[in-house]
Amino acid sequence: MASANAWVGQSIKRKEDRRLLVGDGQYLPDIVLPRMVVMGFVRSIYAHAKITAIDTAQAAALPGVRTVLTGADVKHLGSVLSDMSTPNLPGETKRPIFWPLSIDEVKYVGDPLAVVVARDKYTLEDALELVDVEYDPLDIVLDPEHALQPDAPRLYPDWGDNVLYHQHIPAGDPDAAFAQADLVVKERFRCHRTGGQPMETRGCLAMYNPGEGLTLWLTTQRPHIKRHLLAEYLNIPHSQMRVIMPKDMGGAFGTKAPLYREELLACHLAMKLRRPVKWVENRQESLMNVGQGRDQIHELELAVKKDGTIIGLRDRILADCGDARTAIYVGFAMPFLGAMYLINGYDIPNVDIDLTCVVTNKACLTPSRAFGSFAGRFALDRAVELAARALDMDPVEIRLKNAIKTFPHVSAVGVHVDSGDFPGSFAKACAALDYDNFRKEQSEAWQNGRYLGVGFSMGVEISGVPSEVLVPMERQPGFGVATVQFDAHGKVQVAEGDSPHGQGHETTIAQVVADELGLSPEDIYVTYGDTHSGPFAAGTIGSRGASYTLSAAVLAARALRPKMANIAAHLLHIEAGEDDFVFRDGYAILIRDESQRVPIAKIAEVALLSPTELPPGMEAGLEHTSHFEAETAGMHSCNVHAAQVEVFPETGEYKIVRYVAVDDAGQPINPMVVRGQIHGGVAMGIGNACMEEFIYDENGQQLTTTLLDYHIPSSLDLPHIETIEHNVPSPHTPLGSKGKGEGTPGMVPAAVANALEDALQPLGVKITDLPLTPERIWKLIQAAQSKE
Amino acid sequence: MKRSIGITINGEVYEETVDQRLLLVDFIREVAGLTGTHVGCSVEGRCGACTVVLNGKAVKACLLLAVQADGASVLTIEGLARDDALHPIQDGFWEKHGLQCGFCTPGLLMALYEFLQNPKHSDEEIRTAMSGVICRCTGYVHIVEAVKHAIATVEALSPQERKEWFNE
Amino acid sequence: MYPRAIENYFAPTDVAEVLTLLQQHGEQAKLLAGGQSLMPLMKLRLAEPQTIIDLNQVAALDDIREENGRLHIGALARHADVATHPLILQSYPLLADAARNIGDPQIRNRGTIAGSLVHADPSADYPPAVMALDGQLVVAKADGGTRTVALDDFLAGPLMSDIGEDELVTRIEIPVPAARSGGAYAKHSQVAGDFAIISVAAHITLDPSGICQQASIVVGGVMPKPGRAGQAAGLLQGKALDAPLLTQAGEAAAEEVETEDDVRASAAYRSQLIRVTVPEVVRQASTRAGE
Repeated sequence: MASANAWVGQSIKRKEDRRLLVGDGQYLPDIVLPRMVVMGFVRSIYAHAKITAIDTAQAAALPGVRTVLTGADVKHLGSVLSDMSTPNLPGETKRPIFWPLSIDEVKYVGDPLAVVVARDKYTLEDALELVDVEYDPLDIVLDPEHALQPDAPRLYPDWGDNVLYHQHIPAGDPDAAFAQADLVVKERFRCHRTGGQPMETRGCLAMYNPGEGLTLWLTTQRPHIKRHLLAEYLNIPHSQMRVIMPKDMGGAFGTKAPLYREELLACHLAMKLRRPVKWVENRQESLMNVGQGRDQIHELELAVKKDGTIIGLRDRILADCGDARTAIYVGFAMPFLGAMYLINGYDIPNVDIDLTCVVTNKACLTPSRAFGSFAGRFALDRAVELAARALDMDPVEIRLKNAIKTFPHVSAVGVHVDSGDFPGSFAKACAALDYDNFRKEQSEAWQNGRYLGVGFSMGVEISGVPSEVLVPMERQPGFGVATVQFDAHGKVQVAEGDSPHGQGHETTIAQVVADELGLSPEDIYVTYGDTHSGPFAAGTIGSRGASYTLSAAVLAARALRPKMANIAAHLLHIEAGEDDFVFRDGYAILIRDESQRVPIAKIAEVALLSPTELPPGMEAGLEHTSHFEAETAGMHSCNVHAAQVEVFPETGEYKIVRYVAVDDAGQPINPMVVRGQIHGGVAMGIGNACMEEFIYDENGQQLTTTLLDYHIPSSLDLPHIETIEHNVPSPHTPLGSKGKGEGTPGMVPAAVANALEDALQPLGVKITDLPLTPERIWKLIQAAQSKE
Repeated sequence: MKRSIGITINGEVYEETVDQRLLLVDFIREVAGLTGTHVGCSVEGRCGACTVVLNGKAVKACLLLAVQADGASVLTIEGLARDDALHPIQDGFWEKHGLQCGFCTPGLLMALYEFLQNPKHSDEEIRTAMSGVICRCTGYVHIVEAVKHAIATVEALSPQERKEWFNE
Repeated sequence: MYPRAIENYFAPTDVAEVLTLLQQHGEQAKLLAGGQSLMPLMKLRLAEPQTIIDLNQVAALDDIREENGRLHIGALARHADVATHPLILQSYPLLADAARNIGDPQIRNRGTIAGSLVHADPSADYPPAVMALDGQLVVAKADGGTRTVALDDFLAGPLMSDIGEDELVTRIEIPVPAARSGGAYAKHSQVAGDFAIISVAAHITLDPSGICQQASIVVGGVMPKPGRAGQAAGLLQGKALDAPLLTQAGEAAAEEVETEDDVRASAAYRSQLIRVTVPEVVRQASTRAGE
C-alpha cells in the first residue's frame, strides 16, 4: 500500500516564499565574485547598415576598462548556429550565419557589434559612449509582406529571398470541404509584436579556471540544454562546462529559453581574461532584444455547414521573425508550433495550413508564454465567432458543436489530446456569468445606449511536450526526470534538472513526494538549476512541471518504497514486503498490526549511517532517479475563458467587467499555486492583447524601449480575474496532474475581442487586428458608422 | 567626485565614501550588500522593484543619488521582519500566495508598508497603493488578497504592537 | 543605466545659498528636486550636469497656505501632499485631481510641483491644471530679485520653460477662487498613471442663479504645450451649463485645440477625446462650483 497522507490537493503555503519575503532571494545580479569585471555592449543604432569603421581606442584607454572587442575579434569562434542549435523541422529552412558580435553589417537596432569589459558598471557605460562606430545605412525591410516582395531589401543576400522557413500542413480534403460548405468565413487577422518581458532582465556570470573549466551562472529556463550547446560552441567537454541557474530568477515566460549571443561572449571573455565576467542586461536592451513574440498575419477561411459544423479550414500564415539570430528557436520554432496548434480544441477534419516565416530588420522573435499560438488562437476563435454571427448561432453553441468531444483525440494535423471536457467547462463559465440573464441585460442596455458584451474562447493548453514530438522537432528530449534521495537525517532531497523560477516546484514536488513517502512537505527539499548536481533535463518550459518533472519525482519516490519496506521489516524482525506497510506520518507502519512501526528517519539512518543494520546483502543508500515519459504523443488541458465588457463608444475605451477562467489542471497539486499560474497567464494575455506593443518607426527605430512606453499592466490596469476549476485527470500521469500556465495567455485575445465585438453588435463592428487599444475600437466604430 | 556620507539602513549606519553619481539603490545593494532591493527597469523607475522607505516614505531608490540620502534613514526589505517574526504584510503575501518569482516582491512590500500605516479598504485604494510596482507573474489577484489579510492583521494589533511594526 | 560623473554635489539649506551656488555654477549646474524626471534623463545621459544642486534640504520650500488672496504652494511640495492637503481638497480640487493622476504613489511621494512645471512635459498632469487656475510662478534670481510669471508664459514648448540658469522657482501662486467656483481635471492615458493622451482641466465660476460667470478650459497632451480652449470657455460665459451647451463647448474645444500624431495616439483620436472629455470635466467642475 502507498501512503495515507494527503498533501496533494492542499493549498499549503509555498516553501520558497520565506527567503523571498525577507530579501534573501539569490538572483543573478546579487552574485559577486572576487576579481569580477562587468561586460556591456555597443549596439547598432541603425536597423540595417554596413559598419564602415569602429574606433575603440578611446574606450580602451579609459582607466578601468579591461578590454574592448569587436566582431573581427570573435570571428574565429565561428558561426553561432549548429545542427544542434537549429530546429530540425519538416519544411524548408534557411540558416543565418552570424557571430556573437555582428561583423561588417548590422541588421536591427540593438544588434551587438562591440563588447566592453570594465571594472564596474559606471565606468563601463562611460566607455561604451566612447566607442565610435561609423555606419553606411542600407535599405531596410520592416513589414513581413514587403519582405516577400521580389524587390525587397535582403537581410541575407545569399538566400535569394527573405524566407526563413516555409511549411505546408495539409490534412483531409480541404477543397472538398470548401466545395460542400454552406458558409465560408474568410478574414485576415493580424497579431502585433508583443510577448514576455520578465521583471528580471537577462544576465550571466562566467568564471573560468583551467582546472575546473567554465562555470556559467545564467538566467535560463534550460540549464542542461544551454550547457550542451555552449560546450559544443566553445568546443569544451561537458566535464569542463557547468551551467547554474541561480537559486532565484525573476521570471522568464519563454524569453530565457533560447541561447543568446551575449552568453557566448561572457564565456569567451571569462576564458580569455581569466576573470569572472558578469553581464546584467538593462531594460532598454531587454526591450530591444527579447520578449518580442507573436507578430503574425493569418488569412483564415472556415468552411461551415448550416448547422454550424466546421468542416474545413484554410490558413495562410505569415510570421515576422525579425533577424532570426538567436539559437535553439531561430525565430521560427514558435510560428511552426503555432501552426500545428492552430485548430487547437476544435475538431476540424480538413485542413490546409501554409506557414511562411520571413526575416526583417527587427529583433528576432523569442518564445513567449503561449508559444507560437497566441496569434492563431486569436484568429481561429475570432473566425468561429464570425461564423456564429453569420449563422445567427449562439457563440457557446457553435463552440460546443465543434469542440473535441471524445478523448483521446488526434487532431487532423496529428496533435494528440488526452483528456478534457469542454461541455462541462462551458457550463461552469456560463453559470458563473449567468449567461442567459446576461443576454437580457445586454438587450436592455442597448436600448439605453450602453454597450455590454460577453466573449468566449476555448482551447487546449500544452501539458509538457513528449520526446516523441521534441526529439524530431528540437533534437531534445521531453522526458521528466527527478532524483529522490534520503539524507542521513531522514529528510529527502529531490534533485531536478529544470530551473523553476516562480512556478512553485519546491512546494508542489514536496507535496507529492511527501504523500508517496508518508512524510510532510517540511521533510522534502528540492534542488534544481545546476548541471553538476541535477539530472539532465529539458528545462522549465511548456508547462512541464506538474506534468513531467513532478511525475518523475512521484515515480522515483515510489521506487524507494520496496527497499524502505524491506529495511523496516528487517528492523522489526518480521517477514514483510511493500504491500504490508503503509507510510504515514513519518512511519513505516505494518498494516496488520499498527503498533509495529519504524520511523522513516530510522530507515534512512540505517541505509546511510549504519548500513551494518541493513538486511544481509542489501546495497546501502536510499535514492532513485526516474525518467517519466507519458505513453501518449500529447497531454493537454482543456479550458474555457470568458470576458464580459462594457464599451464606451464615444472614445472606444472599455472596461473588462469580469474575466472568468475555467481551467483544467487534471489533479491540482496545490490549487492556490494553480490559481496563481492562471491569474498570471490571463494578466499577460490582457497586457499583450490590449496594452503592450513593440513599436518600430519607419526607420526601424524601436520606440518602446522603456517601461513607460512598453506598457506592462499595473494593478490598476487589470480586472479581478475569477478562476474556476474544471479538472479532468490525465490518464497518462501517475497522479492525473497536468501542467498549467504556459498556454494561458493564448486564451485571452479572442475572449476580449469577441466580447468587445459582441457589445458593439448594434454598431456593426468587426475586430480583426490586435492590440485592442481604445483608439483602434473607436476607429472601427467610426468606420462602421460612415458605411451606414 | 567622491563624497563621504552616512546612511542608516535598517537601523545600522553605513559610513562610506562614494562616487557622487552612485545611485541609492546601488549603495543599498553593492555598498551595504543588501541585495533584497532589486532593479528591474534601469531608467525611469516604472517597475518599482527598487522601492524602499526613505524617512517614512516609499520611494524608488533608483531615482535618488546615494549622496541625497546622507543622514537619512532607509528601511529595506531586510529590515521588515523582526527576528523570525514576519511583518503582517510579509505574512499576508505568504498566506495568500502573493508572489511567484519574487523579484518585484520587495518593492511591493515596501510600498505597502507605507500604505498599511493608514490603510484604506476598497479594492481600488489597495490597487492604487500597489500600482507603483509592476508584477509580471501574479496578475495582482492574490496580492490584493494578501493586502486585505495584512490590513486585518494590522487593525487587530495593539497600539504598542503597531508601533513596533511601523516605527523603524 | 547610470549618470555621467558628477563633479560637484551641493545640498544647500536655504534659498540664498541655492542662488549663490547657481551664480557660481550657472550653466554647468542642474537643480535636483524630486528627481523623477531629471534622474531618468541623467541615466540616459540626455542630461549631463557637472554640478547638482539638491533642493531637498532647503527649509520651508514645501509650504502650502493661503495668503493675501492667493494660494501659495512651495516649490518642493510633493504631489502626494498636494493630492491630500485639506485646503487644496476643499478649495482647489482640480489641483488634487491632477496630483492624484501623476505616476504612482512612490512618484507622488517624491515628485514636486515646481519640478513638474519646470520640466514642461506637454503631457504632464500639472501644467493644464495650474494653467486653468491662472497659476503663476514666483522665481528668485541670483541677483536678489524676484519675478512672477504666468504659467502660460513660463511654458515655452516641449520640455522647455522660461527659467534662467541663475533662477529658482520658489513657489506657485494661484488666486483664491471666487465664491461658487469649482474645477475638475480628467486624463485619458494608455495605462494608469501614464502621460496623457489627452487631459482636460476646467475651472468654472457660477453666479447665484447658476449662470456661468467665468470659465477656463485647458487641454494637455497636445504640442508644443497645453492649449487653452478659449472659444469653448467663451461659449460658456453668461449661460446656464446645460447638456447641449456642454456638447457645443466640446466641439469648439476639439476644433480650436490643435492635435498631433505620436506613438500614443493619432491627432484625430486626440480631438475626439477633447470633444468627449471637455463636457464631462466642465460638468464636474460646475457641480463642484454649485456645492
